Amino acid sequence: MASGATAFLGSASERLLPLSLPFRFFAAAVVFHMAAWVVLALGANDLPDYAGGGGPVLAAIHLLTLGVFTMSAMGASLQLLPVATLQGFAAPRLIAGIWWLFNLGSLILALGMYFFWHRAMAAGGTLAGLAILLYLWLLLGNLRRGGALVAVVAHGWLAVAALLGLLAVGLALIVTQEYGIFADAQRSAVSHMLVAAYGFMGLLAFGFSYVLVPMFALTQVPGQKWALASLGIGAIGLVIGLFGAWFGMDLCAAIGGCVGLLAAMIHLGLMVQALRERMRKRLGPAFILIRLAWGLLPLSLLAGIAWALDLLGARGGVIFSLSLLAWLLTFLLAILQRIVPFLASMHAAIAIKHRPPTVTALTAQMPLNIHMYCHCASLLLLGVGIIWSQTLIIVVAALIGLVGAGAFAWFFLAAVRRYLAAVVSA
Amino acid sequence: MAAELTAPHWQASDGKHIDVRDLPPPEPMLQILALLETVETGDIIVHHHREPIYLYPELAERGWNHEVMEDALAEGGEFRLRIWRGSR
Amino acid sequence: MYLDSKIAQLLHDEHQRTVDLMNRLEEAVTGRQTKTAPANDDAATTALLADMNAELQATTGHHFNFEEDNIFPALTAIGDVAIPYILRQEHDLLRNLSEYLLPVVEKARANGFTAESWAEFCELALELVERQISHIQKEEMGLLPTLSGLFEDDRDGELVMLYAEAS
Repeated sequence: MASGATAFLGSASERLLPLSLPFRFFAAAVVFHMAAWVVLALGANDLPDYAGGGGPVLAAIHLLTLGVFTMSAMGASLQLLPVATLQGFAAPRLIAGIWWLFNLGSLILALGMYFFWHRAMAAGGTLAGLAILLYLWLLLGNLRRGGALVAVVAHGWLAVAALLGLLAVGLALIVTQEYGIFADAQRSAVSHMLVAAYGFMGLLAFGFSYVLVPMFALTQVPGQKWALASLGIGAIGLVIGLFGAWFGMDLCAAIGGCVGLLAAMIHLGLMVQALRERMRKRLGPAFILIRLAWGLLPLSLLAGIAWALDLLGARGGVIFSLSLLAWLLTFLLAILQRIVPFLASMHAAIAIKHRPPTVTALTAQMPLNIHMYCHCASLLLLGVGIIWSQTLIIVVAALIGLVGAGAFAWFFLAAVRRYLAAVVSA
Repeated sequence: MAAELTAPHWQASDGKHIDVRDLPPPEPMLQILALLETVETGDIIVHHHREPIYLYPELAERGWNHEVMEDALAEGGEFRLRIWRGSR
Repeated sequence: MYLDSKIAQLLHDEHQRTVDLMNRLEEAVTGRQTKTAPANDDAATTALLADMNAELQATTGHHFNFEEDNIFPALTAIGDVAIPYILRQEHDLLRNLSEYLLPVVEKARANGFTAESWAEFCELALELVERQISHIQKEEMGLLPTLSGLFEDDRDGELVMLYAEAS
């Protein structure tokens, strides 16, 4: 390994973090991904008619939203945000500390949800919340410096606001289980979900799309004006939708969904245009999932609008939630399968002078193919199982999802193994 | 067919030297391979401005070995490689 | 203009040309095409080899030298060390690869491909495509957007002229 070459990583003006930092977040996400499917299988019976409250379904949702989405978002944003703001994070120990806290908190929270242990939920929520606050503090410090990609930074700011909001409501929801803070806990939970999915995760997904898609497709960064318009309209839609959800005003919630749909279509229009103008012709298999995610985004909003207008029947909420989580999970896993080997190859180029491994050499494609088929099949079967209230179909879907998650873990481990083997043999 | 040997090269006590630092691609590799054709015994010392990693398989194919004598590239210096035929 | 900086736009345009060539090269050496060497008088192959010859020498010479002499030191000076380090390493790797590939290209232009030389060419070409594309991805995202903040307008203009004069 090149001596001294890694010494400059992690300094204040250095935009490249040591590989172990983002990768530990991705590793944890991979494990939580498998755990979410296992827990969902255990809660299959409760899923079709789930209307809130503790138990395996809530645990599975949070294993996914915290353990997979937020965990990956933290790891990715800590490495990608410096690309937009042109300023690194000079706090590797703090980042490692955040990782430990967040893992512990998410695990305890999920256990508490599964077994209806309110104290565990409170403890886990506090730890995870503390990790999130520390992460927010890091993020704010970086965002304050602005940067060349104004739209990305703006998305970051609003995502931070959303994260604060969902953290507050989430902790209050835990407390309300014992002390009844909210008059209608279910409406509060829906609001929490909307802010988490469309607010925090959605805005991060939109913002980082403006960096990642151009990078992988080698195309122009979409026009900042339209990206900001999408952001502004989306934020308005989210606020209207939240207002409607919180106060039980269904028409208002539906209008929020429609405004959000407009924002989504602008965003997707920018993405489609970017791909049309791309320099790189072959995009690779990850873009199959990215395009699928782009289809699931408006579908989730339509499902939300339909649910608000009571067009989806008794299971409308579950169907909407599934579409929402499907969009985010599909997008996230597509992005991860590109940035994991890409980051590893960048670090290999620092550590190895002799022909460092290429991205292809670090990518185990077969497990990714297995994952893609299992992922699509599991989502489809979940939808069918929910609509027809068939526990067995949901269990099968969860098991297929687990196989897919296992395949994804195999891909991740292969990337790490291949990277380490290349470094050791150099 | 080997390229014509035009790069600066000279005989010294430790072997035949060739300096390819000022040559544009693909001349460095072509010149080194051209010199190999003219040397039966003894060492060849290559003065280069980067490590010629794609040269190594070519050397192995032709029955030549190599070792890095000096890598001063990080300090703005040269990369020096010793090549010899067969085993030591 | 795609980027605020003129020199960034110029480098981006050069990247575009290189990526176009890499796309063509990838099409030529993947799939069914790899099984048999193209005919000596195949026009598409002749044009591709000619373009490769010109492009590889221009990129690994002028383009890389310019970035190393003028762009990377400016980034390193503000403390951004890793990205220029990686890019410089990749330059050397691509130079080495081009140095290895160019004689194969020249020989093919003169005498056509044999089954053996075609197999070797396909393997090297795929490695070149991947490394070159990966390198350009890093520069497009990690280097070019920084240039408008890195150089004042005057210096930006100077660099454009410097680039043009040296080519």
